[in-house]
Amino acid sequence: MPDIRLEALRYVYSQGTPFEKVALDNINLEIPAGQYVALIGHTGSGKSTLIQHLNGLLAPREGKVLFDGEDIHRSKEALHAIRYRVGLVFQYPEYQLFEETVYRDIAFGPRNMGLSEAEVDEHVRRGARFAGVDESLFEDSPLELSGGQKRRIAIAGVMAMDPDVLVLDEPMAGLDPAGCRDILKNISDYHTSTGSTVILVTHDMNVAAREAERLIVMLKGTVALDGAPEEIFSRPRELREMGLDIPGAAALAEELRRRGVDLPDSIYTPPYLAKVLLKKRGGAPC
Amino acid sequence: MLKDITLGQYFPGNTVVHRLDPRTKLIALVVYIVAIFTARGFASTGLVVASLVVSVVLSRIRPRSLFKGLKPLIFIIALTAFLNLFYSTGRVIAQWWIFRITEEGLRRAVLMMLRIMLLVCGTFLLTYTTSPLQLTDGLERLMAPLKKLRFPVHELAMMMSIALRFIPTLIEETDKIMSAQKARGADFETGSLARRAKALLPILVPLFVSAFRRADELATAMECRCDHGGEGRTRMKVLKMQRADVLSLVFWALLLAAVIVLVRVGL
Repeated sequence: MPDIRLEALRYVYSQGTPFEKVALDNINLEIPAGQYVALIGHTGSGKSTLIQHLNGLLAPREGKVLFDGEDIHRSKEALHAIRYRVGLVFQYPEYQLFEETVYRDIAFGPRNMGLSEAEVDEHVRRGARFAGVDESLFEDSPLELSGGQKRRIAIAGVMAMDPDVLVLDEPMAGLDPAGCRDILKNISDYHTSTGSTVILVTHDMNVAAREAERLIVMLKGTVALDGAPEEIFSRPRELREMGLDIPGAAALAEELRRRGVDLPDSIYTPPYLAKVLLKKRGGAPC
Repeated sequence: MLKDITLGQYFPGNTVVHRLDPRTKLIALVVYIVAIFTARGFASTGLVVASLVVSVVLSRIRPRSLFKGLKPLIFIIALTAFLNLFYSTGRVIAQWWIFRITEEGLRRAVLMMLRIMLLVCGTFLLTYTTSPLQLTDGLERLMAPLKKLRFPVHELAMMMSIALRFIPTLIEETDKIMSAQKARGADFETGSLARRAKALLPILVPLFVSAFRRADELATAMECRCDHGGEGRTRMKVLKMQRADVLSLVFWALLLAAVIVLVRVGL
């Protein structure tokens, strides 16, 4: 499994025109294999620009993107190969479905990889299973299904390429709570059973708190905070100054602290908060 | 890459040309085009060139942006010049193998090239200095008399402004879809022409689907706001002819007259 390293990354939109805009500035990051990372930041902070560098859709103006220690832009072949190893799911991915049947749409990526039909079939079935797409839908038209199903098919299309790194740009946007839960569970299953790296772009602090083992907070094209969830969420003031928030459990703990209940700083999930409170009351945690 | 398309682009400004009533500019463009095709000789064509130069200077549009609009037409301009140069009869001034250049051919080649360039530059000047909204507004007012013949003028103008409004949106959408398919290993740049055409399918299908979805949503939104066509509809900004408009129209009328006179005397 590969590590990703970003070195002094800088990206400027419309360089050399009056509309010039620095989207990323001096980004240095190292994401070891198998980590579940949440990328947070409010709109326009450079999250989407950053993830498009990870599979080489955008080339940095300065700096390097290293995959397993090698520059992904070293050759055209290397760049093409990286697209299959870093699976990128864009925002609202259901709008990219185009094939006549669900099966063929999921098979688009694996076919581009040049696999044999038997291998394509295997990849499609595995991708569909991970993304929660039932095989009975395979012969349906992807354009006639519900929004949540379409989204799952689009994610299956990326998972079917069996990427070592799965990057998702707000995969829950616009879905109902049950849909969100299902998709997050699918992602988490993929993460645990394949051991692949997951990079999840999200606005939802509760999701970040529950799912990720590391948070990267972006602000105006730079990395503002980077660390474990308990570390990041123990700095509510800084997060709020960046236009972000803390998870519900952390906010409740903060309010209780303000009212004189003595609680540690590191609370950010409901189960942990409940445990601490029960212990304080002297009751047995069940 | 796709963002470089300059179709219908508007450069905001506050010059005399920008402030002119869009109707004036539309009429001026028609007069200008008539003048281009009336002009026969170098003197009359030169006069039209001069009128374009005056307009460009007044609009403060950089000539470079005008020439940029000509770029995609280089092939057509070259072909026209080529055909006129070699396929005219008259006094031969140079000859090589089966190619023969006549004096008449040379004259027509230069004039034809000038005509196409004048036509394109004039049209571009109009779209560069007039916002799409103003343009459709002006068009609607100019075509108002056709309403008597039951011609759907308002609907036509509405369709035009909606189409113009959605060009940038669809370009952005195309960019997004292309990135998404590239992320799944789609390749748009290599392979034979047939293969590359087939590679466009993963872009075109989602693009059409989303265009229809957008159209549907827009129609619903318009109905929710009680859009019922042009009948009884008033405007916030009513177009009004100013003194500059009258002067401009007089200028263009005089120009056309001068061109006609010059052509009559055979220049």
